[in-house]
Amino acid sequence: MRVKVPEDHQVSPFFLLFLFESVLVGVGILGYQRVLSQVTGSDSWMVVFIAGFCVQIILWMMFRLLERGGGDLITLHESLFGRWIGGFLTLAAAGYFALSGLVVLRTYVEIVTVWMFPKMSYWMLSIIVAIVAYSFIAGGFRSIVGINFLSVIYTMPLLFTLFFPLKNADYYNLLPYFNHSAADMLKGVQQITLCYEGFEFLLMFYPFLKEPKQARKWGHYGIWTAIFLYELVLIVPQVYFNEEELNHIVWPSLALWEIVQLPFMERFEYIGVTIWLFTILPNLCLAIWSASRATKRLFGFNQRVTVLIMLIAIVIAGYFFKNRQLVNQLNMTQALIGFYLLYAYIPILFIYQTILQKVRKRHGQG
Amino acid sequence: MMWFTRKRKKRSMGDETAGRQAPADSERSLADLFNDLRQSKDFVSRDHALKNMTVRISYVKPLIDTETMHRDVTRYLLKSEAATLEDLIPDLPYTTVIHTKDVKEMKEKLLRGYVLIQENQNEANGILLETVAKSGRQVDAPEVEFSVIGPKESFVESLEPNLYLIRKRLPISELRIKEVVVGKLTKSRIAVIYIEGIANKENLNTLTQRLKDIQYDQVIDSSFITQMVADNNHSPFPQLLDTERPDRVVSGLVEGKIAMLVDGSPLALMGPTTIVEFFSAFDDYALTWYLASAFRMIRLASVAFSVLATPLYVAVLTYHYQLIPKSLIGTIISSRMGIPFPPFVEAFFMEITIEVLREAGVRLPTKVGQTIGIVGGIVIGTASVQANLTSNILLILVGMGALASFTTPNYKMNNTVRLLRFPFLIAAAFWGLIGIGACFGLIVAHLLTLKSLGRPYIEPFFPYRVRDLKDAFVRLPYNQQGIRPQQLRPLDTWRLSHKKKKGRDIDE
Repeated sequence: MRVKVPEDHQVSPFFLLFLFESVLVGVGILGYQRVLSQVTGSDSWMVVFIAGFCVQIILWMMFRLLERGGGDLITLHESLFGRWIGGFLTLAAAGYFALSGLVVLRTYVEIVTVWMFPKMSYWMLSIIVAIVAYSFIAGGFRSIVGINFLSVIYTMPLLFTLFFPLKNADYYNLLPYFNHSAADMLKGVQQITLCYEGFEFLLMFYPFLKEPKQARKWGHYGIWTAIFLYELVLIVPQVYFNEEELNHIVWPSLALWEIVQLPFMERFEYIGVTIWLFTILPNLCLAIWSASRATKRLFGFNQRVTVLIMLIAIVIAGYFFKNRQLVNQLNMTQALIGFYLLYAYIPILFIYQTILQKVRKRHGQG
Repeated sequence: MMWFTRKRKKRSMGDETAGRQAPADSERSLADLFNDLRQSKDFVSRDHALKNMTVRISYVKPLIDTETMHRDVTRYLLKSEAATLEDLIPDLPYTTVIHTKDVKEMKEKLLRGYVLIQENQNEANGILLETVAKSGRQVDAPEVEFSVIGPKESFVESLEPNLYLIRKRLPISELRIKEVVVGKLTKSRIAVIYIEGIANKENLNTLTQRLKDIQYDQVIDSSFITQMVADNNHSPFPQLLDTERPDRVVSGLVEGKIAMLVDGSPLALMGPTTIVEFFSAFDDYALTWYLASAFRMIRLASVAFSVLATPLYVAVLTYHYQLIPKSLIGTIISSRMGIPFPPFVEAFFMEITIEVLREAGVRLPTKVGQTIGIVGGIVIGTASVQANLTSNILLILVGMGALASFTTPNYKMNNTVRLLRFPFLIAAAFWGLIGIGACFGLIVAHLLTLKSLGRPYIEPFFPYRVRDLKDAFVRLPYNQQGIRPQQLRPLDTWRLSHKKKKGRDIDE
């Protein structure tokens, strides 16, 4: 069963580059340096590479899965596990997508509260973000791709801010290499998974790509861009702060903005956090879109309504993560689920599909 | 079931003629028509005795040119020795004489300035001669879209001179002009103009379909049409480019756009269009490309400034005063000292004042308007600073913002830009920078789904087409403009014969 999407709702494969770049760079990039530095110290740059490389392999598997399955996650589940178990698995996936939406929304509101509006209520901020997100999702997948693309353009100027700390950089902070064990490295890879999550939405929007075969290369380029960005944003705070300092800074990327000095403006992080709204929007939109699309394909619900319900649900759910510890826990939980989804579930699906197709082929021949 | 189908049939027949005539009076007789017209004093219908016959001449007096009628019609009629209407036709100095038995056509033409000549006044059989009064404004210099260099012609209020202005610039047989009549009472003629072989048929069909679907009694101006055929008529952004310059219409047609002229309106409409085209002016094409690009960038920057300046002032002063550098904060404190209002109230009232001044300036006669602008602006500005009602820094920002908004070459877009700052201002007052960001997000979300005649409105940016960026932020030189804008999906992509010139080396 192939999923048909009308051509005027599809996007050209080239946009996958921007989709992946903007989805991979989300809330994770603001604080991963500390977590990594605690585990692997000056070897962290290798961890970023290794994790990136693993992600490329998983992406390759995903493309193979979808190409052979000829549709999205729902088709895949149905053909591999049958209607009931497959449906149940899809529902679980939808839950996971909605959860990643919640993580993005809650973390962003947390950052805004801490850095800009200590006194503003959670409701006010989360509702604004949810309204903007709804306006994009209501425009359909093309509109979401639009904000993905534009968010990459809008946030590009922020890269220039990385030059300011380099004036006071100490490049010896990057040394020594290879002084961590393989176990530490693996732990690091697990820690950074939260950053690399997001491309699993491909499982839902794959039928929306115009020439899926072409899309492969753009997908891999997109992940390379993200790896490059993560390396850059890792190394700059590493050379600016020493390791001890870095281990105690919650959001090193934001701390870097404090160093920016412009003749007409101080405290650049206010601008930075505002522009960051456009980095988290694509994540939030794509997460909620994927979750609602899954329920639409399963039960035939009206997507406009489900999107609204889901946004209201995550705004309300976010309220219960009242303090920093709880938000952190939420992040860790989602990262863990994502870790198993990427590194365990996708390979298992891949192997299962390969075996099943071989068996069916042989069965057909016999 | 029979009655149902019959009723449907009748209604669908009515729909076909709805654009031209109300269905009820299509079955009217000649007597009814004359009775109707005689109710007005300006209808003339009298008998003329010729040499061998008597004819009845009818016309609506204000619509015809009396001199033409006497010169070209009456004089020849009196000379004629014809005994029947058919014999009369060769005696008249007209190449096209409409001989009709159709009452509907008679009525239509009589009301468009034709003279009706009948042999027997009770028989629906007559000839129609065109004697339309040609009064109207002379072709004048453009007033809204003024340009320092370049052609100084603009459209006028009648269709034929406007078509002439376009035709004379495009002496090719591929130029097509189709006519659609819209408006139940005004019966406005709309000319749809395009170039065969360049313009995409899909765009043309979209437009003609929408024009035919218009159900309204009056179409006075092309701006009515813009709103009626717009893809989203709740959007603050104009979705069809309006211009009073024939040269601009021609360059649009050459790119593959479809233009519309409405009889009685001095503004042509063009589509599909994109948001950047509303910020481009004729001067952009008259200067060398880098000069033109620089001025276009200035224009775009001033639009951004005009929308964001006061909202940023409010957001920063209300919530994020840490953003202000140390050297500047002293100036701001001293200018705001003693002002009793929060920044939002201060800014909001200043913005409203500027809008009131502008609105008053537009409504007043030109000379008084200027005086009011200067006196009102300077006097009110200085007074409100001295009375400690507003800070002079805000006054500078508001004044600059108003000035910057006028750099928009298109009047409709100018209105949009001016009004857009108010939602930003309110969002800034409530949620600071995040509010401005969210407001911006909402507008981007709206723009992403907006379409002009079914084509994406913010096209060179999304869907991203590098080739169309050559005329967006910058205008590249003409030899780089070899490809027509892809947004219009032109049938013929190339403007130049695409031969590649080899770069010459030194001393060759």
